[in-house]
Amino acid sequence: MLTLEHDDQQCAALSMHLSITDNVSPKVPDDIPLIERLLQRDEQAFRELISSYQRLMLTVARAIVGDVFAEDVVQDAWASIYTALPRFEQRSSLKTWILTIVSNEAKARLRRESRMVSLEMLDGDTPGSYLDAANFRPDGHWRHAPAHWSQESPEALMEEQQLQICITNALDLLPPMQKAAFILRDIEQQTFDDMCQILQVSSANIRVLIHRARLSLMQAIDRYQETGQC
Amino acid sequence: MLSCKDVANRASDYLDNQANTNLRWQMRLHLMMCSHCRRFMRHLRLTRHLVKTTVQQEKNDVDTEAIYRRVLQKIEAGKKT
Repeated sequence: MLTLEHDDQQCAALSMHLSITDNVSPKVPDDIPLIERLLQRDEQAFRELISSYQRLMLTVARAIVGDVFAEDVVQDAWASIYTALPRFEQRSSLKTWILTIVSNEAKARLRRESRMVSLEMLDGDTPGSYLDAANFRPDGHWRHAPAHWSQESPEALMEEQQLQICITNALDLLPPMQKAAFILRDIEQQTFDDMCQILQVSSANIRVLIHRARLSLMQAIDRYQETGQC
Repeated sequence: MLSCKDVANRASDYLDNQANTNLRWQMRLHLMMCSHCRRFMRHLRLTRHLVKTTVQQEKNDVDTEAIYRRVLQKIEAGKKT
């Protein structure tokens, strides 16, 4: 069984001291005009920042500290971001810098609450998943073929509104750490090193989380293909 | 020789280029011979694409103004204490 821990040591090799000083990814050119406006204390630019990152920050906070404290943590993180903006040196992307701050706030909150989240409990194996031993013969080959999808064209599938509802539901039902890992990787295109830093788990564990999330989502699409429902 | 179970376990590492050269070649060899695993891998790729597109199409319902006001209040309150 996968053991997940908020593990500073495992991330240490990847320059893991998280601080408001940015030190990880290269600057993203698209960020530059927004950063310039932010540094000039443009209020509208800060509103744009909130609009762009609030949901992602909540996802990261929930993964680390749990649902109860996540909104509070994100609120604190925005205040820290606002205050720290003049010190943003643009050595990392704006996104990585912001996510590092929310990660730090969440970890600090976790320590304050003296409440260790059992990620093993939250993100454990899903019974009946693709990786269930029951799906394989003793020699390791599939007992049955993976589900047949009557439609495999991405364009045609995206026109099916019910499928989009099923996907959204399935994503919301993922354990917080899996959801955060999936979103950071597959939606936000973060590197494994940055994800290790943001979520504070080892790269190996992040790979497992992403894989489990993808398989759960794939099963949601399997169900839709089979029944037309979620 | 990899089994289907091995391929299912390592499929995301393969897609994310996190598999070493040896494992990549073994996965490719298995995929050439196994239609079940080819379907599995195809569906995994498609899943990634469909979820990404779905999320990107979702309406952003963040109440930016309310959050912004609370941030400013928090900073002000911090200055007073």
